[in-house]
Order: sequence, then C-alpha cells, then structure tokens
Amino acid sequence: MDRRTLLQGMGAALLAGCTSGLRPAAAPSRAPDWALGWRSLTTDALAPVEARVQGRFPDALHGTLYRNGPGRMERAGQRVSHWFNGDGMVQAFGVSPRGVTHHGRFVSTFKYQHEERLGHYALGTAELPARGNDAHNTANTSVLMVGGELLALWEAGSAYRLDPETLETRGTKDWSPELTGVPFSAHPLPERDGSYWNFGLAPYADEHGLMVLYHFSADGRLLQSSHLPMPFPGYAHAFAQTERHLVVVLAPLLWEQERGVTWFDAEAWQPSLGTTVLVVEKADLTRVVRRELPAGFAFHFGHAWEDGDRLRAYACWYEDAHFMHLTLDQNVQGRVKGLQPALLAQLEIPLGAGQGRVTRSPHGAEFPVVDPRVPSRRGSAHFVTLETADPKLPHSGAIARIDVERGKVQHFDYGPGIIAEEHLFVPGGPREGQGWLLGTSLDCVRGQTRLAAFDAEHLDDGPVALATLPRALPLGFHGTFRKG
Amino acid sequence: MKLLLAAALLLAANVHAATLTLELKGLTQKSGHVFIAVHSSAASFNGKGEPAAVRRVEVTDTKLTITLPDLAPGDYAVSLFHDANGNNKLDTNLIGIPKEGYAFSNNVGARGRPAFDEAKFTLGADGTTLTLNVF
Repeated sequence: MDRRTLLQGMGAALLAGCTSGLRPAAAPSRAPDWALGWRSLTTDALAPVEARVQGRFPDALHGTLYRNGPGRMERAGQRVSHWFNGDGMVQAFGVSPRGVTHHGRFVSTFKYQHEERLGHYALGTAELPARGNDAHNTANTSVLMVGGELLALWEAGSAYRLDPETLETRGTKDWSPELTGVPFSAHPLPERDGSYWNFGLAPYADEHGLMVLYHFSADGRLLQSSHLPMPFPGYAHAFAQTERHLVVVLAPLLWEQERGVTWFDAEAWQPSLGTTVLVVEKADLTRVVRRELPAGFAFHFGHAWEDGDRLRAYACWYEDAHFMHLTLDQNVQGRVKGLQPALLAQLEIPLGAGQGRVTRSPHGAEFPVVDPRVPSRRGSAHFVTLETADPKLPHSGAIARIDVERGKVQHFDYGPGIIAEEHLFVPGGPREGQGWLLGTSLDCVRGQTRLAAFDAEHLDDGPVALATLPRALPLGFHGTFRKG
Repeated sequence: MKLLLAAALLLAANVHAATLTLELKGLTQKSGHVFIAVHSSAASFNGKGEPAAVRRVEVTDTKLTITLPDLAPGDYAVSLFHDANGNNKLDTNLIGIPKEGYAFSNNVGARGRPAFDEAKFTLGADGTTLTLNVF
C-alpha cells in the first residue's frame, strides 16, 4: 500500500483541504495577528484541554513534549525590555492513543512569585530588594528531564526543578554549595554514556569573566565542574561538542560592568575583536586553547566533529548580534529590512595554529536539531526552522531537513500567517535522521497552536498527524520529548 | 603627635558637624555585624582611599538605625555589608556575587556594584536620614 492509498483509506474528511498530506484549510483572508506570538498570559496555569487530531501520531511519539518560553512580557502597562526577559512558562503536550492534550504553567521563580503578588515589575527596587542571579531568573529558555524531574533552564542562573506531571515548581537545582545560583546554560549536551555537559558564563566575574563547566549524570548528580577565565566578557548561548572537546564560540558582545553595558545594549557589539572559540578538553576541563574566527554570532549549533588537525561544527550564523537588541515591537514586526536571518554555516576550527573559517550555506535557518544518536560525530541531517527568501513575509512557517553532506534539502511550509517553532527529532529506525519530527506552530490568523508529526525522511509529504489546540500559546524557544 | 592631630581634625570637623542617620531594612539574619563605610570620594568608594567614616554595628534585629555624627556637610556615598557569619568579610560565591546582605546609598546596586556618582547624596548642615534596603 503506498502512502497516498493509506491516507485515502483514512477517510476523505481527513484530507479535506489538503493537497499533500495534512495541512490546515486555506487561510481566511484576514491579516495575521503576529502579536499573538508575544502576547502575555495572565493566569498561573492553563488547564488541560483536548486537541482536535487529524491523522495518527505514531507510537514512537506517545509521550510528552515539553516546551519552554516567555509567557508574560507585560505587567501593569510596563513591558520587559527584551523578549528573553519574559517569565518562563512550560507547556506540556501529551500524546497518547486516546488523543492529544495540552496544559501549561508558569515556573514559580522568586521573581514571578513576588511580582505576581505585587501586580507589577518591582525587582531591584525598595519594594522587592533581591540579591544574586536567581533573583532575576525567569527560567524561560528550555527544559530537560534529569533525575526524574523536569528542569526549566535559563542561562544566567540555576535551573528550576518542576514536577513533570503537574509542572509545579519544586525549587532551584543546586548542584553543589559552591555552584548554587551560578549561570547554567539552557543547552546541556548529552555524552554517549548518558551523562551531560554544560557551561555557564559570568562575564562580570574576575577580570574578564568566568566560564563555568559542568559534567553531570542523567540522575542529577554533579560528576565534575571547573571554572576558567574568559579572554573577554563575551557571549555564548549554547555550545558544541566533538568526541574529545567542548567548543564554546564566544561572540564579541561585551558585558562591561564599569560602563553599565550588558549584552542587551547595542554598544556591546564590538566586531573588531573577532569571534573567539574556546576549545576545552573533556578529559581535563582545565585545559583550554583559544582560536579565532571572523566576527559573527551564533545562538545554536548542529553537528560537530573532529577532523584530523581541526574541528568542524555547524552553526546558525548571524553576521552581528542584532537579535539581542530587538524590542518586542521589532520581534512582532519580524524580518524588517536590513535584519538578516542566520545562515546554516560550517565553522572550521584548527586545533593547531591558524585562523578559523566560516563557510555559509544559502539556507536561512534557526532552532537546529540533530539526531541525538550521533553526538560528537560527523552527521548530515539538520532539522531547522527555515527562513524563506521572500522579504515580504515577516515570519516563516517553514521547517526543513538540510542534509549538509549530500546537499539535499526537504522542506514543508505550514503556509502564510503561521510561525513554525523548533521541531524535535525522535529516532525510529537505524539510519541517521530516520524517525519522526515533532513540533509546534502558531497560526496567527486563526489564533491556534498546533502540534504536528512528520516522517523525518519525508518532510515534503507534510505531517502524518496534526493536533490543533483550542488556544494560542505565545511563542516558545526549546523543548524536550519524554517517551511514555 | 598622631593622637593630637586626630583630635585637632575632629575638632575641626565639629565646627561643621552634621549627622547622617541610616535606617537599615531587610536584614535577613539577626546575627553578626554590619560594616558601614561613608565615602567622600570616588577613590575611597572604589577602595583606593580612606573613607570619611566607618562603623561596625551588631545586628540584633532585621531593622537597625545607625547615627554617624560629626561629618562635614557635603557629598557622600555609603556602602555597607552584613557579615552575618562573623568572619569579618562579605562572603561571595564562585562568580563574585555576594552571599551576604549589602546596600548602597540611593538603594542602587541591585545588579552589581554602582559607581560613586550613582550612590552619591548630599549631607545637609542639618543632617540627613537615609533609608537603605539591604539586598
């Protein structure tokens, strides 16, 4: 039975309005309300609701997709200065043979609890004096299951521990007395033995900042940690790993305490310094070498590996740090003139002497996801949200599979008025990149969030299953999938 | 000779004596001492000169009122910390963030050490009272 026959066999109703696989019916003619993506939710929790499901979610995807992102950007008429400062809300999409449900809850951070009570932003004022990084923690960037708890990750302070079922907040994750409240990035990387690496940057510490490194077990124990001086108080959001190295790409976005300049100020961008790569040996976290790349900026990384006398890593590469300096209104406006999306690019980093190189692909891409079964080895498939070349579209509703080794691209476009979010890869078969993609999108015309599943080797065919929520969620950043 | 000089300086100061009153709020532990420094220059504020006055006051409550008499009217900035565990220093974590309470005049410094100018206030001839929130 071929795919078309199968779909036809599932009933005509399923295919209503579809030309290829599942797709929302043609959009009504009204203009998209892009601001839905940055709307504030004003209740602590979103009660469970059932989604309307078309198609069938494969057994491999029966489980829970957790996602995190800023859910509240405004209080008492005041708005946060940057999207990244909104209060974190975790969403849980439960997929089972009975259907798809959704519920969500704000992470009850120190900041959220107290500003909820006061009804307005007050942190750092006489009304709400507070000390330390976790006072400012919004826990809004990603999630990770560790030791039976769901961690809500930020990058400038602790992770918060949540109950994976109710999403209720239990407290901060304190790795050790020394590391309590210390920056812990939202992008831990899994080692082959099941443990994780992570880093955190404190650009205001010591002379030029400190980089903290963590190695922890899947059951939530700290295995080792280290801290190293930074060459300048630059910025990194995520990092990459090869078999023997951790690779931190430090952008020349400088936190200068004395001048009162933080990463969110435009004058922090100092491209004349170039971008620095810190290459740390996994076998000895105190051993680090520094390499140089042309100035550029990356939030996220794809496959990375050792290639003889050099390292290679894929990144979503920006020419500057403009994304750190957008207002909420500019986020809503989207790709305004002059703001270039990140391009999927290969970074080449010599282990010995010499300058590194950046080789850009033509593909505008963000939220890269790779097959977790090939950590730190040469892989091909990158699953990304795709920025199309059409300058008239402020936001993109497309996702893609970009096979960098074979130069092949498959994509699926949700259509106009829709913003595609990160799509996670769930393995299902022996080949690299064989399995399923699971991800969300926000329909800014109808005011609905959807969850879709794709055959990861056949994105062009469209989703095999699509669940539509009776609600619109503000855009989030990153997620994790828990089977079962 | 030194004592004599100090006495002479005190007498000189007394001619224009003004009293600074500090009302501290938000102390989280009823133990140890607060260490207070009153600075008349940016150099002193940044640890490169002598403060105009220093005090060490025992903490027995979450609120505390401290008077510093005999200061010449003029511009100052106050910095203080709460040595709750009695080791005579402000404990910080790995990345230099205070683990014990601290405060500056004008209640600045929530996100890090302020500049002298941000914490600067004018002590009038009739004295000045500041309410300081301990972070």
